Amino acid sequence: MLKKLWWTIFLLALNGTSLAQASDAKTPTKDSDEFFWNIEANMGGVYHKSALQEQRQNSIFEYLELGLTVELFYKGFFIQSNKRRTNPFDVEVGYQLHTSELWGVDIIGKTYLGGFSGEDNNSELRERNIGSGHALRLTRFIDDAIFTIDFASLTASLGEKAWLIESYYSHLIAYKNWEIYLGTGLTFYNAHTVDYYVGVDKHDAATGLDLYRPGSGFELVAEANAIYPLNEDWTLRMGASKSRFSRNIYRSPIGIRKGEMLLKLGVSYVF
Amino acid sequence: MSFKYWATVIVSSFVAVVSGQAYGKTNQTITSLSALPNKCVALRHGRTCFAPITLRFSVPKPGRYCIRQQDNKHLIYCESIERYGLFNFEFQSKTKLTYLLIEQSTLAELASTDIDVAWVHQKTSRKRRWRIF
Repeated sequence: MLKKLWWTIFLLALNGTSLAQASDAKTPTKDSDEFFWNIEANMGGVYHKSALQEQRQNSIFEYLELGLTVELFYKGFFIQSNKRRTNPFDVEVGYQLHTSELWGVDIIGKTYLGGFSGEDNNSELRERNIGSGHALRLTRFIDDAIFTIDFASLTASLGEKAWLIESYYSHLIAYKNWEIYLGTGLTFYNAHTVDYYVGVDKHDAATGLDLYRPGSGFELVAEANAIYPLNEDWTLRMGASKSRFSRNIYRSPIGIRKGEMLLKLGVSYVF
Repeated sequence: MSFKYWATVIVSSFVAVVSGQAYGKTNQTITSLSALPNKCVALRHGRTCFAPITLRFSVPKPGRYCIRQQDNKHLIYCESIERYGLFNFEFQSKTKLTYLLIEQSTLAELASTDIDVAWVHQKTSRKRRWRIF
C-alpha cells in the first residue's frame, strides 16, 4: 500500500516541479546553488525518560550530552539537523526535489526509531535494530509555521513491509532575541513496524512472555524549544518533548511506558 | 608629641589626600558618552536585535543635556545634571546606531557612541527552510 502511495506522491512531486518550472522559468526551484555549511558543538544536560520501562539513566555521564550538529547544503543535496525538534542529533541526508514559497518536496534518509536490546530493558528480549529508512517529505510553509509529512519506508533496516507516516507542525515565536519553537506531531506506524518493536514473537516468548501482536499504532508528540544568543559564538538552548503512544503499544508485555519525555538544557558553540 | 597629635596628623593627611584626588578628578571631567553593552547580538542576520543598554555620560559644566540618535532629530532623553548622567533604555535595531550627547540650550553635539549589531548566524542559505520561515 505504501509503495503505491509513495510512487503516486513521487510522481505528483515531479509533476509539480516541472509545472513550476514551466510556469516561471526565471524562478529558481532551489534555494541556493551556493555551498552552505553550519556546524555547532553542543553540550549540556539531558533527562530522558525512554519508552522502555526498565531503562534508566544510571550514571551522571548519562545526564550529559555532547554532540555536533552539522548542516551542509549544495545544489539541492543536504545534510541537516532539525533544530526545530528537541533532539537535533537526528541527522537527515537528502535531496531537494522542489521548493517554492509555499511548498517543498525532499527525498531523505534518516533514522526514525532507535533500536534496543534485552540488556536495555533488563531482560532477554531479542535485539531490535534501529529504524532507518528513506522517505518522501512534503513541506508546507505557512507564515511563521511549517508543516511536514514524511512517508517513510523502513525496508533497509526492518524489512520490506515496515513503514510509517510522520507528520509534524512547528510554529516559530520570535520574542525579542529568543526563538521559541512550539510543535506537535503525529506518527502512524504500520503493523509490521509496531510488531517488530513491541510485539512478542516466539523468541521473546521463550523468556516467559505471552505472544503479542499489537498491530498498527501511533505516537502523539508535543515539543517546545527555545534558543537565545549569548554572544556571537554561543547560544543557549533548552527544550522539552513529551510523547504518548497508542494503547496497543504501551500495553506490550515487554514493558513500554505510556510515552517518552525529554528535557534538555545546554549551550552551543557556533563555528 | 602625644598620641592625639599624631592621630590628628594622620587623619588630616588622609583627608587631604582624598580631597585632592576628588578635586583632581573634578578638574579632569571630560565630555564623554559611552554605552554598556556597546553590542547587541541577535540570532540571525537581518533580525531586529533587542538589548537593555545603559548610556553613561559626563559633561564639563552643569546644565541640561539630551540624548538622541544620529539619524533622528527627536531627543529621546533629557536631564539636568551637574557632571554625570545615566540613561537606561531598550535598544531595538537591525543595524548599528550612533547616539549623540547634546547640550539642550545650544543643540551642540558634545560626544557620540555606537551600538553595534552582530549575529550568531551570518548567513542562511536555505531560505524559509529551517530557521527563517
